[in-house]
Amino acid sequence: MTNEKPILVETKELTKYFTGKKDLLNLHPQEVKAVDHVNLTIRRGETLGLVGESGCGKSTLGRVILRLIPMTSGQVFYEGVDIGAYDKKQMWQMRKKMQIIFQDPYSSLNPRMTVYDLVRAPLDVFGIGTTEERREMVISILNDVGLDRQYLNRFPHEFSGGQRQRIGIARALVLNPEFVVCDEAVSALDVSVRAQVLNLMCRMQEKRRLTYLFISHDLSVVRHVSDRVAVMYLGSVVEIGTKHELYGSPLHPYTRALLSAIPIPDANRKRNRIILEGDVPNAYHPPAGCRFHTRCPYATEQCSQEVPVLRQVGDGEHMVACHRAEEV
Amino acid sequence: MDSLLSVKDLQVQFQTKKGFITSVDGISFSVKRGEILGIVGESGCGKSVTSLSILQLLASNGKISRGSICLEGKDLLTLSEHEMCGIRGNEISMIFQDPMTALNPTLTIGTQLMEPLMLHQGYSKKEAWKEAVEVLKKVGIAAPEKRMKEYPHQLSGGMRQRVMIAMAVSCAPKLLIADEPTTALDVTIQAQILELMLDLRQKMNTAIILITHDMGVVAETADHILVLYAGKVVEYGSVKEIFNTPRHPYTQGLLHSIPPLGEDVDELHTIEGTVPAPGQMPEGCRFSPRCPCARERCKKEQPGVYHVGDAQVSCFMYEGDQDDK
Repeated sequence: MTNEKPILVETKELTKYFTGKKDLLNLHPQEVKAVDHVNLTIRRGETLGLVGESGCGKSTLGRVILRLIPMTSGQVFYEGVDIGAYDKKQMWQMRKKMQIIFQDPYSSLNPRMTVYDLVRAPLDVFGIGTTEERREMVISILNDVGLDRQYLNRFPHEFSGGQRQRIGIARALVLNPEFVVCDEAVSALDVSVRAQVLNLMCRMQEKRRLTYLFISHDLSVVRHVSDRVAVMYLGSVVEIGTKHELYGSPLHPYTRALLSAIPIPDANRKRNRIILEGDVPNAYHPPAGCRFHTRCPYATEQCSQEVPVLRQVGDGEHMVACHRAEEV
Repeated sequence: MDSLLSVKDLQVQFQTKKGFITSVDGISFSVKRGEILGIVGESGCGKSVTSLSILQLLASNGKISRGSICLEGKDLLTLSEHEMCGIRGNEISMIFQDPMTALNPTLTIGTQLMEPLMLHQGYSKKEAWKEAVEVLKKVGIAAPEKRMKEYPHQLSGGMRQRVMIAMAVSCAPKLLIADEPTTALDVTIQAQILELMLDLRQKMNTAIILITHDMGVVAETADHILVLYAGKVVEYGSVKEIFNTPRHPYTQGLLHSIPPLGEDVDELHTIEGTVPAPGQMPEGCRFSPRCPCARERCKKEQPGVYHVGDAQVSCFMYEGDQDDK
């Protein structure tokens, strides 16, 4: 079913290296491969979930796609056009279509601006409508996210975390974007408020036909909102599939360990946890071959030498980057 | 009942510019030897304040205005500051949420680990070193001798939390208070740390108070749960009882708002509204403005604590069901 939807965003071999520690004379600058040759497609109207542990490059990927940080190499296509080649002016116009919702509702809102100014700012920047029209648009979007017009002249500090995140959502949606990156958008919220904001985001998606890239470390939240899910480990996508494929029959040993590590709020279930040994390796010196082989219970000689590529398994959309996915 | 720690009717107030604010109001619970008690609730419900008051580590504007905290029958509130110092880190110790800020960045791991051993157990430097290496081994740190000479910034987040735990259990405390011990960690590391805590409980018979906002973590590790809302006990009972038959509308709502991992739901259940700000508590039941079952009476009177089945619930709906024991 999802197959028929047209592709909105596509990345080809998208790569971002950060230059880190430098040695004397800067002869051999060390690089962190935050995003390493990532190929992803996001279809119009769907939600692609992106999960992984901290430092795996999921936020960097989201930002590189939006060109908020420059890419090292590779391409990003938006409706088939390579936006990596766009100049500043063209990119400026694109920004109307692509927005981002940030994690921290405390630091992402300017404390000196009122709610009205905050949400109106994108309209001002793009010179949309007259003052009157802008006011109407701001009131209507705030209404959509569940904030009353009486709050218009209040400041961010007067709101709770959940309300602030609603303001962040209103600001991202006021320009009527097509594609929204949600970077840990609900991670800072309490459970009961988180559910409210998640429902709001799903309602908005239906109403405005939005496409989401939903970045989170919380696997149960990602499962709830996503159509397809991609799992990242140390800069690479190790597995991608529809949520039923990925959660129902995970193939990559890392995905399995990740899924088994989620604490489940059910007192009757006793599960066999797969406890991974050790920590995520240092990003400056990622292991050779499969990057997961140092923690993988099934690793062989081959895994420490050859880098596995993402390949299709079965006849669905399930893809995995593991040499031994069929055996284990 | 042979309980290790029993807290009765604890009330904590903070002095602010706007006068006294009650952040914990009449909380009672007890912990047995080797038991794990999970304290859950949303931010601002008083979980951390409760744990800090047990150790009397409240900020200078906070005070325990009512109640008692007894460790093996001895009321901690009557002890002098000097006597309390002998309890902290020795009989009761604590693990904090953020291992980076809780460890001293200018001292080696070894120095920090040896301090409580020399202070509380009267070990010599040599003995303390040996013991510290043993403890590091116990919490699963590879090459402990090497780690002893390293500084906190050289360790990863999971390792730092292991060091924190090592420090907390080095004097074999009777009670360990873990305040959001895994919140700052990734899921795979969280699984390691929870496993470690269960393991230590088994080996050392340490009672643990586990403070968290994650219902999943409690379900998998705790024996009993105390659910707090806005500074009051909402429900208290065994993990099985509370997860299988949540009685209070808040507990029910909380459990339903978690996206399930095994099935698809179109819309998540939500609890409308937000937690009331301290100082603006509703007159009656504190959950009444958000409660789908609230009646007139809930808005005026505060419910008592009623025993239903194996649990204690603070909701008028269960007033009649109370079986007298």
